[in-house]
Amino acid sequence: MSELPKRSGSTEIVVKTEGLTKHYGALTAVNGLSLDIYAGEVFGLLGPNGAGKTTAIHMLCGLLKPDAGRVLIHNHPISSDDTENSARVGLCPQAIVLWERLTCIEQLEFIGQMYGIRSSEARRRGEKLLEELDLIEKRNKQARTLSGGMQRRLNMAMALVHDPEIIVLDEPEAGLDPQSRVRVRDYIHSLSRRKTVILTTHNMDEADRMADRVAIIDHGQLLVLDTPQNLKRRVGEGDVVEIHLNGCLGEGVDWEAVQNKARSALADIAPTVTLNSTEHTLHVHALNATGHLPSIVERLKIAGMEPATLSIRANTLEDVFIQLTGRTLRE
Amino acid sequence: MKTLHVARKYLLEFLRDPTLLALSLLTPIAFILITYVGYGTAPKLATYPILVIDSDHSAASEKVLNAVRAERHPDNRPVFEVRLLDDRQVAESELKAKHADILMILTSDPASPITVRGDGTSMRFIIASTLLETVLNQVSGIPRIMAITEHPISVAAPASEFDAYTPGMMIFAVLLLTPQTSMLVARELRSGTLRRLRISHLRAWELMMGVTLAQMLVAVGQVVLMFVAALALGFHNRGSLLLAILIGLLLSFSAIGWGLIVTCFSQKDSDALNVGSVVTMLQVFLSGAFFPIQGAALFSMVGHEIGLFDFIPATHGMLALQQVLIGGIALDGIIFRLGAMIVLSITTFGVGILMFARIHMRRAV
Repeated sequence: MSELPKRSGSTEIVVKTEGLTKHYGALTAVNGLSLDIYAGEVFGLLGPNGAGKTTAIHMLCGLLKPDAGRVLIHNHPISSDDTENSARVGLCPQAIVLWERLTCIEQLEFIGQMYGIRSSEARRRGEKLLEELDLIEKRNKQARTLSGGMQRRLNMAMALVHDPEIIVLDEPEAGLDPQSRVRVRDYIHSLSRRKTVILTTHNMDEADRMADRVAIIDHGQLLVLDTPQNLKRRVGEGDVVEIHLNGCLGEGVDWEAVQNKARSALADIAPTVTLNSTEHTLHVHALNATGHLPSIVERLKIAGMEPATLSIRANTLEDVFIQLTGRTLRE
Repeated sequence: MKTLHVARKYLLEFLRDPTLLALSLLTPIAFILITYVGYGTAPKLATYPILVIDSDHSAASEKVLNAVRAERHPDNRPVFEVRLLDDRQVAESELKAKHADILMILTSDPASPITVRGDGTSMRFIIASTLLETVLNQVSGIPRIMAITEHPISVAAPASEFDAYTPGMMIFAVLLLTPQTSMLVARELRSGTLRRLRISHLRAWELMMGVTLAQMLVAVGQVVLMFVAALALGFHNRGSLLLAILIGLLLSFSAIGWGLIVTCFSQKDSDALNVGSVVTMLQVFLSGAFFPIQGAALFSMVGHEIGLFDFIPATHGMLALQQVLIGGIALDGIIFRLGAMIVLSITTFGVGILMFARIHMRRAV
């Protein structure tokens, strides 16, 4: 199922999970998750809310004990007294986890010291990270005085100061302004090859741009694992024709009936037809969509659906994601 | 080394947090000031009104009365203002109305020739009766009266009510480490920084020792500040500041231990602060820091009766501090109290560390 990473080209498995399972009462948060993550790749872990992403990465970092299965780092199962392995992982949590009343440099120096790094070295690394993440001017400012974007960047630096081999980023772009997002994205790019990066995200564009491979999980189970390019080719049947419907608008429209009608009209051309009821738009997934376009329009007209506008775009990771995990909102 | 780094971090956070600073340093000084305003403006060497019913009218009772009348403070003011009464009912009413601190009844009954009555919850009664006991014990030819005070101070009585309350306030300040500790550590829980520390190489005991070291420095600061403030307001110190600091340090182990125990049941710093404050207040009251409390004796140990409240380290801290600062007693005179504090404080501290490490610091795998 999986392919070699496109950037690192490494075949060395750094992180391996075998049948990782975690239950919370009756809920199975992670269900038999098995992954191989290669050295130097950026690995995206995607899934809707409650899919089990955070639980999975917490088990990966040793913060949660799996009910079944195990995590191996360099082929060694992680254990509570294995400080060498724990130092190999740096976790940047989704929430901002900082000491409010310590300055940026004090935070980095302190967390470095906690990993057994000498104070002078921890400070040197801290200064370098602040420089790289555009925070050097704030080095002596307390964390509570920083903007949200700056706090997020400092949050990331905290995961890196002990120079871990594996960096786990939980929703690294959440809550970032566009400038900070670009800065963080560039920085993650700069880490790839040198480090193994595992990131969870809701942002499909982020995953598409950054990840060498992505795993989509839902209900704790792995649905697919491949490069974004392959997923877009394999799942979603090629291109997407977005058709804004005319004549189906208004109060009391049975959108499910509209969708079913469109599906049966296009059954032999496009195996996947979904309808966005909010935007009154049909999403028709089809191979060679351009060639089929006149036929699609004609058949919809015959079925009583008048296309007002239409556009063709390439299949995106979001299409793949929605197709695999459905449109139902999760809490 | 990590312990020192952790301690430094907590001290930095402490010094930059106005709430904690106020709670730790200003509150104790405020307590001393309040005590001074409440009790310190009265004459430092008060004269205590004493009602006497002399039913004996013997030479012995006359000798007692003369001794009481003759007792003087160093500035030559009388210690007691004696008023003779015949009617017991009138005397009891006057006592209830607080027109006098003590009612002393002298009888010819050899079984109980002297009876002393008063309000056991009044610090004035406690001080006056202690002074009276000293006088009576010096009068030859009369039987020694029964112990009157709840916790007699064997060497010297406090020179004023302000003096009598000051050690209790110092104990209170040290016990404030309980809510402070629980608040600091619960803040780590709430903000997720404890999780960050858990996945680092920091061991549970290194974190706990770091917290303890920082808090002990705060405790030293509190004791010294209160001592200086009390001296400035006229506290008559007879003992060693170093011994007082030692007592404060020993007691801080217990307070920090309780703080860690409280954090085991708190997820938010505000919860921890509230619950920690309740634990502190209970200890303060039960230790007798505010007013003497007598629990029934359960057993005796090396000449000391041990009651239920003697299992609270603060009880021994309170008595030891009173003995040192008011009584002027040296280290060898408080060995039992220090020993009891060491055993009880270290036990509480150990329980706190074990519970906290088990609940919040255990790595998952």
